[in-house]
Amino acid sequence: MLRFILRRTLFGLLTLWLITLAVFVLFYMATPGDPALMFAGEFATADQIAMVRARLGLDQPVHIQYLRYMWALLHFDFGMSFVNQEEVLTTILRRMPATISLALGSVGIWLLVAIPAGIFSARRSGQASDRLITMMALAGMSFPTFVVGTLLFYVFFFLLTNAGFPVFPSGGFVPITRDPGEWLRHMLLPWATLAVVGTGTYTRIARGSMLETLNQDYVRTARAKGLGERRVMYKHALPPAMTPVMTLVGLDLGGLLGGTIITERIWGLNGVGSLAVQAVETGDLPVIMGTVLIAALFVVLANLLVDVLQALRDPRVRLG
Amino acid sequence: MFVSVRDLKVHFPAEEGLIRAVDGLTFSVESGKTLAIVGESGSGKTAASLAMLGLHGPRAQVSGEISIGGEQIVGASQTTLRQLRGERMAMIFQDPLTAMHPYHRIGEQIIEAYRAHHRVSSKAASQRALDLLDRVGMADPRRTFESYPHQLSGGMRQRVMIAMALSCDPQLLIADEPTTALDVTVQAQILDLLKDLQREFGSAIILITHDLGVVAEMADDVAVMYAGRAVETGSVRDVFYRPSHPYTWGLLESVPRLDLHRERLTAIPGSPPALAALPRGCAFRPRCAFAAQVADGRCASDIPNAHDVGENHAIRCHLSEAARSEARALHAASTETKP
Repeated sequence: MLRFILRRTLFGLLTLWLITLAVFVLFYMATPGDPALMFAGEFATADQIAMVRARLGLDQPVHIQYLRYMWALLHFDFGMSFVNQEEVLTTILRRMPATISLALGSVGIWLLVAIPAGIFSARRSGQASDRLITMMALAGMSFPTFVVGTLLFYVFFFLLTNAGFPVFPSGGFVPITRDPGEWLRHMLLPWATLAVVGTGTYTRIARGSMLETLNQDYVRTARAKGLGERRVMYKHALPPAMTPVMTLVGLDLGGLLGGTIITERIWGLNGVGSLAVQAVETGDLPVIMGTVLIAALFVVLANLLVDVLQALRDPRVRLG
Repeated sequence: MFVSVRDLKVHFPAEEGLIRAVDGLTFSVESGKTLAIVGESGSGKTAASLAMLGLHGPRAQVSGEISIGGEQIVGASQTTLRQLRGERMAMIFQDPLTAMHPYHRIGEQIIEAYRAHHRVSSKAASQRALDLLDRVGMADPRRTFESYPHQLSGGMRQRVMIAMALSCDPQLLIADEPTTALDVTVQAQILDLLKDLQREFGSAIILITHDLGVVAEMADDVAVMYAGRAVETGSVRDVFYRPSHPYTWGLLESVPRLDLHRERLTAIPGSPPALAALPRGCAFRPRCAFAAQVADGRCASDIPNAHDVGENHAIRCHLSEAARSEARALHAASTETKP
């Protein structure tokens, strides 16, 4: 088990390193335009630009630049924003609560809905209730987030508030530490926005995986032993059926923690996703780099976590 | 008769038509005896054995009569079936690796089978599991108890499957190709083990196999299945030494034998029919070399009924007694050519 975790961790580190390398190549060697010029501003003199270039270390040879870049990264130093002269890490950390709230909440909701729906559907495969669920799942998957978000906004904010029931705010974020009730009120619609697509996708996956598992020989053996249907379902079929779901959660959760762009925009959540968009719009290279690297870090971490969980469940992975 | 199956049918509705996996199967087994059900893949052997445990899903249409120790299986409630499964009849599957749960320890899996029918403490159940592992010949029962299926060899896994199946002393053991996935030397050990256990517990065994060597080794009686029906039933002696159905002749001639010199094995021409589109009349007719000898083309119009050709020896074939003796003489000549 320890060896497994070690191997996976090393693999994750290697992945991260490759990403940092790619980011370096993209931002230091292949950037269109001069970063020093962007940093110094439109009206800077040639001298000022040269000064900035020296301060950013851009006058150094590439390998020195790379070593400095890696050294800084190892200290979680992503540099200063070109726009507001703030530490990139500080900016990102300030944006994290909204992003984390959105990611964990929506993934939690869609798992809570999709797994039972998938199991239910698989057990009644071919029947009317299964077809209905499959159809709804497909519909959910097919709605683009911006359509779902806009629709939810219209119905639950606009119509409801106009009807005299201002249950939901139009957007914004309240940290859970300040007011848990308000936090929840502000998060419900953003969660729903992401959960519609997620629930659709995960219902289909859970259903497919459960169907496949129910056809496995070991499930037949469980029945042949004379076990009750509930035990067959939840002790024998469900745990292996959850493997593809977990793998996908690893990817999706990692991705969402790296920031969502559309949902954050619709609901005015100032998370990492909207930070990345702002940074791209203003050409704020250090912030773009920071958000990319943070997103990569989350994807790698979430996958590592899922791998370890999988190993805890499956002895073939753990001991194999 | 401990086990009695009458006119068993297992049909699956499918897009290409009704799949008749088992279509009028009749046989019986006494306690302490072994019946081998022989046939090619797709002849309905496994579908029949799953029906005996009531393991078919809601989409299968099972009809006919299955009586195990007086208990009716077809049409029984899920609750009744659950109480009977494992307790009265147990099953050993072809591939023990896929038949065991990959996440659970061997001990857990045996205990679970035992406790499904016995209200005992977990300590007593563990002891039972260890005893069973010892009984099926595991060298180190405690270690096996703690192992996961993937850590065992094929032969050990099949022993564990047997231990699991025997946990509640079932009176009927259905073994579906129990040695197909194993090495030849291990095969012999497993068959010996089954025989020993049968002698000890006096249970009836239904052995599903396509291996005639295994049949000769293990069985008292044989049912030869073709396209969902038993085309020939009888004692091993009768079926092997006085085979009376053209399909059985073909089956016996396709087996390599060291005591006979043959240039090559004789394969039965053609292939088994699609179960969704069985030919009218006798399902074996398209591959049968003797169909032309039957008057009025009855092979193509009527399904032959089972009729006795000896004591406890029956076939489903339209061929007349005279034509059959002639053909059998030919068959005997071809198999008795000594090197």
